[in-house]
Amino acid sequence: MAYLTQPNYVKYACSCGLLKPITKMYFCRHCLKLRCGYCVCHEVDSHYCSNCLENLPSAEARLKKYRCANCYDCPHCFHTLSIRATSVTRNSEDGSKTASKLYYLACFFCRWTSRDVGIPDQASATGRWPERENENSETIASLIEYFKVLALKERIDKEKIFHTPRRNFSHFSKLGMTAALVRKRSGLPSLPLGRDADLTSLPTIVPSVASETVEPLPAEMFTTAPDLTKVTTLSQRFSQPDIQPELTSEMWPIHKHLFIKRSQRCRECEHNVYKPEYNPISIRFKIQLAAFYHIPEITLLSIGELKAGVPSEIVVRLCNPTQHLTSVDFRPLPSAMEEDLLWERQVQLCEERERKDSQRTSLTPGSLNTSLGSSLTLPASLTRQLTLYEPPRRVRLDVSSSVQLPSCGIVLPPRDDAAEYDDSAEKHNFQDDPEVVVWRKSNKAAVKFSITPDKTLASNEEVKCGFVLGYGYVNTMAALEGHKEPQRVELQVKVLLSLGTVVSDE
Amino acid sequence: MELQDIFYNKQEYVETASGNKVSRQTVLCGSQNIVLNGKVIVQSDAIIRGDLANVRTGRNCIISRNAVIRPPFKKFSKGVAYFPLHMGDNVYVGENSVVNAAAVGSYVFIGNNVVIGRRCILKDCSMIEDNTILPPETVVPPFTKYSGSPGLCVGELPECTQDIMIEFTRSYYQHFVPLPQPDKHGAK
Amino acid sequence: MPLYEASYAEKHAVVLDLGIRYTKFGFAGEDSPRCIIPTEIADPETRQVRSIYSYKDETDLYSLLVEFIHMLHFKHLLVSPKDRRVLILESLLCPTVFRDVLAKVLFRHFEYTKIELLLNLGQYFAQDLIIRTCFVTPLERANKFADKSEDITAAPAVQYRVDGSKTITIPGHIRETCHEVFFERDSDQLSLPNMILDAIVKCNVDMRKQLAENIFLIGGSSMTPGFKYRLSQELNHLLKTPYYSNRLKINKFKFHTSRVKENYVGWLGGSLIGASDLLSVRSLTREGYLNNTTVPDWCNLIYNTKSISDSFKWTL
Repeated sequence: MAYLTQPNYVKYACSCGLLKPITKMYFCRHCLKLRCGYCVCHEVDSHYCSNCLENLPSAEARLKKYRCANCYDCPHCFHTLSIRATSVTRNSEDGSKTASKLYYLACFFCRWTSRDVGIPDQASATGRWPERENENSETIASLIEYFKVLALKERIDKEKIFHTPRRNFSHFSKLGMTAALVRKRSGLPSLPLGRDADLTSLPTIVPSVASETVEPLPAEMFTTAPDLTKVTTLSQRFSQPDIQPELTSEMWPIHKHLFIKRSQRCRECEHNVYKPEYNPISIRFKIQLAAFYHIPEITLLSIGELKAGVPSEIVVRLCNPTQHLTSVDFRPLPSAMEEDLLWERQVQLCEERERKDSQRTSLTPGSLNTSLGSSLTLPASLTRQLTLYEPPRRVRLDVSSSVQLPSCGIVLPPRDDAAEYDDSAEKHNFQDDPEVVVWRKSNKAAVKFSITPDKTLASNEEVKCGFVLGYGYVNTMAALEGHKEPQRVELQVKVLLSLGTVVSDE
Repeated sequence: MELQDIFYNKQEYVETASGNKVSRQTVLCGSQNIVLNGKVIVQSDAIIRGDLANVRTGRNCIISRNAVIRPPFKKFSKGVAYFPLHMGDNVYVGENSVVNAAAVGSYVFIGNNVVIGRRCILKDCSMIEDNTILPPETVVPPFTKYSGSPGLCVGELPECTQDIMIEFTRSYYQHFVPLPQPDKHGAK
Repeated sequence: MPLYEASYAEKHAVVLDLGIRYTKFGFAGEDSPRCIIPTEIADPETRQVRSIYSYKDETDLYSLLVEFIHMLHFKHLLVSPKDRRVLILESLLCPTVFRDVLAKVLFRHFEYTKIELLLNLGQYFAQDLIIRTCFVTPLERANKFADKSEDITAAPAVQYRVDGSKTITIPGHIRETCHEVFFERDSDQLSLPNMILDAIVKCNVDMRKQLAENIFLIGGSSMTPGFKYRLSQELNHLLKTPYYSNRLKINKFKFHTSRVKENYVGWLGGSLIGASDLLSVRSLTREGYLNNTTVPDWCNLIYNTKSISDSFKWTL
C-alpha cells in the first residue's frame, strides 16, 4: 500500500528486537529469520555519480575522493551546475573574425555562475575546470612523515623492552608475503632492518612560531554593517572543509559527491540478503530477499469505532507473496515476563556464541594492557577477526488493547501473477468460517478480529494491539542444497498494529 | 492502511477500451499526440500539453487533480524546440504538481505541489516528496527520495519499491469507482 | 576470512571528531576532513531532527549513534565500516556513558577492528597548550556576524533574512556581546582566560613560561573575528590582578597562528596520528574490548597508572 507516504500502521518484530514495517525488512533464507536494516551488515557495492549516472570502479573513486570528476554542485545552493555555452567572435591576427564557443558553469536554481567568482570560461564543454590546491597539503605531508618516524621509533623502543614473541609470523609465509610487503601495502613506513638502525635523524619540520602581537579588529568592524549577501552561511562553508570560504566571492564549484549502491549481508550466516546490479540505473538485483516477498503481508482494511473498554471490530488483509501454499494462524503475545525470559535467553545465546568464537580463533586475546602494550605487527585484515555479536534487544510491544483472535488457521493460496487477467470466477474449496474470513481473492484473505481497547485509555491515546503470527514457509534453499524435497517449516513473527486514537464518549 | 474508495461522477469520466479513465474537465491539448497506455486515470482539471510535443504514459499511471504534464523545451540559437515526454508504468503524479521532465521512469511517486523543472530525468523507483522544487536538468537516480527547494536527496527507498508502487497504483485504480447512483442499480 | 580477502591492502583508518555541534569525519593521513556536518540525525520514525547529545538514556543514544555513523559512512564517506580502524577524538570531559556506548556501537554494530581514543590531541601537533574552545555559541549563526572588542559604541545592526520572507534585525549590542559568555566571570571565577591562567598555575614552574608563550587556539568558536585579540587583552589584564601576579611571573603571552581553519585542527591532529604507526600500538582492539568491556579512560586509575603514562612520556 502506500508504504511510502503513510505512517506505518503494521509493524513486525525483527529478530533483533526492533519493530519495522515489512518493507524495511529482509528474510534470510539460510537462517530462516527476519532481519532489518539495523541488524544486517551494510557494504558498499559500487559508486556512481547521481548526475551523469556513471559507474566508478572503487579504486578510481577512492582516488578521486569519492567525487565525480565531471559534475559539479553549486557552492551556493548545492544544486547541480549545468554547462552553458556562449559564442564569442574573436579577432584573429590576420584580421578575420572567427566565431568560437566558450563554456561556463551555471546554476539553474540560484543563477550562480562560474563567472561570478572569476573562473575563466573554458573552450571545451568537458574541459577541465581549474582546481584549487590546498596550500597546506605539503606542510601536512611533511608532518605526517615526521609522526610516522616518531611513532616507529617509539615502537622499536618498546620492542626492546618487552621482547614480545613474534606471533602470527606464519601468516606471512603462508601467503607468500613478507612483513615488509604487508607494511608497504598498508601505507606504513617500512621497518628498518636492524634494530639499532639510525632513527635519530627525524625529518625536519618547520615548527610554528608563536607571536606576541595579535591583530586587533579592523576599525570598520564597528562602523559598517557586514553585507550578509556577501558572507557565506555555515553550510556553504562546511561543504568545502579544506577551504571554508568566508565570502561568496571565494566560493568555487564543488565536485559532485558520489552515491553508492549497497548490498546487505546477514550477520549470522554471512549470506547476502540483498545485492543490487552494478549498473546505477538498473532497478534489478542479483539477490533480493526482502521480507515483502517471503512472509505474509498484513494490511489494515477497516477499523471500527475505538472507545475505551468497548469491543470493536477490525478487518485485516493477509497476503501470501510466495509461490507456495501457506497457512497462517494467530496466537496471543507472550506476557511481559515471558518476553523478558525469552530475551534473556537470546542474550545468553549470543554471549555463548561469542565465547565459543573467541576460543576458536587462536589469536590469544590477552588482557587489555598487553594488547595496548604489545606491538601487533599485522594489519588488521590479515588476521582472522573476532566477530562480536550485537545482543538482540527486548521486543517492546506496548499493546493497549485486548484482542480476540480466531482460533482456526487460514490457508492462503500461492501467488498467481496471471490471476489479475483471469476473469473466471475463482473457486475456493477452503472451509472458511464466515465469522473469521470476510472475503477471499486469489492469494489474499480478509480476516476479522474483535478488539477491546483498554478501559484506562484516555481520549486521544493510541490504541495498539498485537499478536503472534504463525506461518508456514517452504524452504526452497534446502532443495538447492541437496535435500530432495523443499522443506516446510513453521515460523512465527510478532506483529503490532497501530489502530489510531480512542474517540471520547461524547 | 488500505486505500478507501475514491468516488467519481460517472457522467464526468470517459472510460476507454483499454481501461483509461479520463475526466471531461481536463485540458488535453493536441490529443492526437497523447498516448495513455491503459488503466491510466486522469483526474479533473489536469492539463496535458500534447500540442507542444508527444506525451506518452505507461500503464497504471495516475495523474491527479490540477496536475500539469508539459513537454520540456530547450533554447537553441535558432529558436526553441520541444521534446517529447515519456512516462513509465505505475507512476503517480500528485495534486497541483507540474511535470516538465524529459523522462519519468517507471514506479515513480511524485507528491503534491511539486514542480519538476525542464528536462529533469526521473529514473525508475524514485520519489519526489510533497512541495519539492526540482530545478531544471536535475537527475534523480533510482531508489532515492528527493525533497526541498532545490530538491536534494534526503533518503533512500526500500528495495521492494517496484512492487509497492505496482500495488499502490493498482489498488488506486480498483478503488477509483463511480458514485453509487441511488435510483439505478448499484455501480459496484 | 578467506585468503583472497586477506591479501587486500589495509583499509584506511577513519578519523571521527564528534563535536557537540559539528562532526568532522574523514580519512587518516589527509589534510582536511571529508565532511563537516551537524551532529544531528533525523529520527527515522518521527522525522524529527535530533542532536546526538540530546539522548535520554543508553538505548536511545545507542540508536542515535548507529543511525548517525551509518549516515556518515554511506552518505559521506562511502566506505564500508567493517574491519576498519577508527580514531576517535574526544573531549577530556566526555561522559563515561557516551564513551561506552560509542565503543559498543563501533565494535558490535559496525564491526570496527580497532579504536584509538585520543585525548587532548593538540599536544602532538605543535606541543602547545591547547584550549578546547568548542562551546556552543549562543546564536548559531553568530559566527557570521562581526564580533566585538572593548568598544563602547555599538556596531551597526544587521538585517538577517530567514526563509526568504522574514527578516530579523540583530542589534549591534547583541552582535558584540553574544560571545561575552567566554569572558564572564561567574561565582567560581571561571571564564576562559581564568581557566587558561589556572591551568598554567597548576603546571610546573619551569614549564609556565613556555606554555604562556605557546598558546594555540582551536575549535570553531575561536574563528570568530576578534576572538584572539580579546583573549590576549583579557589575559594580560588578568595577569595584573593580585591573584595571578603573586603566582605567575610571566610577562607575555604568545599565540600560534593556525595554517588551517581552526575548527578542524583537532581532527587534523587525529589524522596525523592515524597515518602513523601509533595506531596499531595504542589502539583498543576488538579482542581487548571483548575481554574487558570497558574503554580505557584517563580518569580511571586502572588505566592511568605509571606504566601506561610512561609510554606517553616522549610526547611531553
